Amino acid sequence: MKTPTFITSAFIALCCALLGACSTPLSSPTVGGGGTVRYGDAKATETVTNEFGSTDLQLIAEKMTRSLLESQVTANRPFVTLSAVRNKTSEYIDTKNIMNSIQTALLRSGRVRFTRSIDEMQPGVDELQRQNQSGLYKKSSAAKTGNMQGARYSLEGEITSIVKQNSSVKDVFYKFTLKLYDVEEGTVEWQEEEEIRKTSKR
Amino acid sequence: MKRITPTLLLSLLMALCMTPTAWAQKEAANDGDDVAKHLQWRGKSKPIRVDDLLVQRRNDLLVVQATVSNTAGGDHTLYWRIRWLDKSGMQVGTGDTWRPLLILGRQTQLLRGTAPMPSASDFVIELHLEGAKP
Repeated sequence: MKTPTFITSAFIALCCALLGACSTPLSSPTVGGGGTVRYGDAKATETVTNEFGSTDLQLIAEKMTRSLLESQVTANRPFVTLSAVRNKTSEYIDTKNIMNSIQTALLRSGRVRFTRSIDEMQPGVDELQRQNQSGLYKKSSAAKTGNMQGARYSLEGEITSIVKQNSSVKDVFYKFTLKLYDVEEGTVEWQEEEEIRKTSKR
Repeated sequence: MKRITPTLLLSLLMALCMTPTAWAQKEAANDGDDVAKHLQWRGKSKPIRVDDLLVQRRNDLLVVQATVSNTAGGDHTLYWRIRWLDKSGMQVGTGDTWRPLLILGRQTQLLRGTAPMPSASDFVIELHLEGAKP
């Protein structure tokens, strides 16, 4: 009979195609010849050196954010503003970057609203002045002055480190502390710490 | 001699194409279904064992705590993170960071995570034991 033979041949061809698909590597949608540059997982644990790194920043931001969201302070979607984070370590650390990650995560949660921080105030004032004093804008569409929201809380932080080393081992201990102050009353309404220990052989 | 049916052959081919990670998930299911359905091991899990999971809602956020034990005498580094899911199975947030955790020999540690937003209603704990084989 011809039909079963045809089906068997077709099936064998399909199997060969499937096997071929499993074994032959496909070319990647990349540009570049040498293959020395690779994109990695931005959330992977970075252990290149024991200086402050991306994983430390992410761990701190996650811990602070989740802890703040768990507390009852955020129950009524309060207005919060960012203040300075003091860097008391011996390294240069972009502390604004840590606060930006915390702010992003808090805003994504929908549980907190932010007002402009002191650093971000001048561009806001400039834009209000442009709309109200340049004479270029319709009065009906210009943003009014005097309507900014005042923050009820202020986030302030500090990062410190203790470094110890001998001939064979270097130990770095980071401690990040974040406090939420009630602006009007001056009280601390929430506080959290993250401790990170990194040890490397020299 | 028995003829190899097309279905059997296709099954064999699909098994050949499966990744090592997919096999590892099946191994983890032996730990106890309630716990295992929330775990995703990359490679072998021994000698680390997840004993139990606690799940609560605090301030409308899902909070998860897992107890992990090192059943061997040597120290091990465990990398873990929680993938948060909404009720339709979609990922919530951009994904947590892999967290390193040193577990000393015969030690028990706690893994604790809080969801980034209230829409998270389910979770999977991804675990990777340093140096584990597929």
